Amino acid sequence: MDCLQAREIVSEAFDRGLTDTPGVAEAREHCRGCAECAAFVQGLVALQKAPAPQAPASVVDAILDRTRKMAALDAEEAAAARPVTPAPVATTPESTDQGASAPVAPSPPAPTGWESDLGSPVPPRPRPRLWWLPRTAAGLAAAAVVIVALVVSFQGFRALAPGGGTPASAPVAREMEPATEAAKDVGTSSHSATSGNRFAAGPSQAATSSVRYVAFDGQAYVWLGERSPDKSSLVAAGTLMSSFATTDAPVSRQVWRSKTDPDLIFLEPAIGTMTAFQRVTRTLGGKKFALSAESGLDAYGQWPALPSRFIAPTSDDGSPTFQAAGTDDTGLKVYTPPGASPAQGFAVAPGTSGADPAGGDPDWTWWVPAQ
Amino acid sequence: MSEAGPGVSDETVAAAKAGDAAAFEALVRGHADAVYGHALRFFGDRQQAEDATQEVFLKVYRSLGGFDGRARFSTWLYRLTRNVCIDMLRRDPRRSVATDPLDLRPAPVADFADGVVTSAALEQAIVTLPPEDRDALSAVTLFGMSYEEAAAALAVPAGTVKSRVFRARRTLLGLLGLTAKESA
Repeated sequence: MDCLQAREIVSEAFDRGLTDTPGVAEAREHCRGCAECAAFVQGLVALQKAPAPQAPASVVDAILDRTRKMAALDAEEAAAARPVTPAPVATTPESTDQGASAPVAPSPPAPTGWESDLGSPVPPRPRPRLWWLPRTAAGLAAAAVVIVALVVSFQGFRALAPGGGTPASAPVAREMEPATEAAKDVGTSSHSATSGNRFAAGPSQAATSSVRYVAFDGQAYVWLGERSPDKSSLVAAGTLMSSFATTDAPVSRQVWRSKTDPDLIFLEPAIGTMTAFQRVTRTLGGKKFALSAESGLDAYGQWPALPSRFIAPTSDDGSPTFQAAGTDDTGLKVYTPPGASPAQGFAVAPGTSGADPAGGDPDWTWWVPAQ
Repeated sequence: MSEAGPGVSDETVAAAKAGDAAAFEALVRGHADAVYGHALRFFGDRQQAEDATQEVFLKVYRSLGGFDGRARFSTWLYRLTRNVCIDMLRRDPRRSVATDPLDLRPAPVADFADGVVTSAALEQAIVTLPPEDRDALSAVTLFGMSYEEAAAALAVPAGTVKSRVFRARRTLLGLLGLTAKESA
């Protein structure tokens, strides 16, 4: 037996656990008498003893966190996919100087067939049976049905025009549709960013929902649908990061702001038409306030939370963080830190109706003066 | 080692496939090192390896329902991992971290006096291996696949897998200075 044969047999024996076959015995005998082959065997032992790479714990935790959220979204999607008879849509009780109530939002636009990372209501691709339903899926599904029933009676946002003039954009409606996840097949390309750890702990939102918010400039914007605006009516306003309706890492999208409606932005996808988002606002004393999303929003299904400088109230009356500070223009109670004026910002308690701009948010929300 | 592969049992795989959250977590924890190790050796970069690892398990989450059990889970996972890494490289060729084997100097003899190979030195050397040798070595040593299973995953004969693994080891020993001449 020559050196090459002996070494090949030894290498195979390492993998197969062979010990007593005639070939192995002969190879072992050869190595006893050959210094180079003996060194080869020692080298294999050293290689085998070298510590194998270990996945960082943070990576494993991020994976598990992400898949838990995906499971919750899947459960909501399953519940929302059940037929629900829409309730009649009521007109808004608001009566400010900013115009009439907005009509009901139009039906979702037809799918275009382009990548659905911006959440257009593309019919779900055939996917495997929803096997990933945790034992609590029944409870989540029931909660999702209640939420859907509440929000289908929601009436859309009024178009907000400065100075009470003619609304410059189409009426806004916040559609509480289930987020669509882009199913991925084994071995095909997926959509991911190239920057740092995108799966690190995100904003401290409460349980996921089917809302479609993005955060831009620290404020929340709600999905309107696909649009084809005249680019001359837009101005480049920066970028934002979101995973939108996918489970991939957040991606960056160019943001365009309407020149005529400061509450309207458009996101430019990699391909296809733009997607419109409306800033979530309410009024107090005739002045506009925007829903704060200071902590950011990584993907659809997340609710904006209180800025981190506020400790979440432990009581319905806002204590110990907030105290009652009057009402907004709809008559809803607002709260401020002790001694603060609502003009600088105010909080709204959770549990508002589906008609409210933040209806359905399970957490306290913070509203800041809209620029 | 179970039929599913190192780290988990067939029952765990079946439970995860049926939607058991704890079983899925066990799958992740049982195979994260192998997936990460393959990606690290593929890209030679920790950040990209972490990205790839997360992408792999998200695909596992979405695709486990389609795992038919004809092959071992570790074999299925190896194919998926390899495909994800290749896809990521195709999407952005800049991801590849080129390492010239000539830059790898054998470590001082004293480092190997006790036959100890550091993880860093080994991983650095593995990145320089020809891709086919590295893939074969990863399949066998990280994912615990037999030559026959690796052959099926790589679409080559089992003898080719055996040769590639041997060649990889021989190359690594030379790069790390663990041959008879260098250690004499």
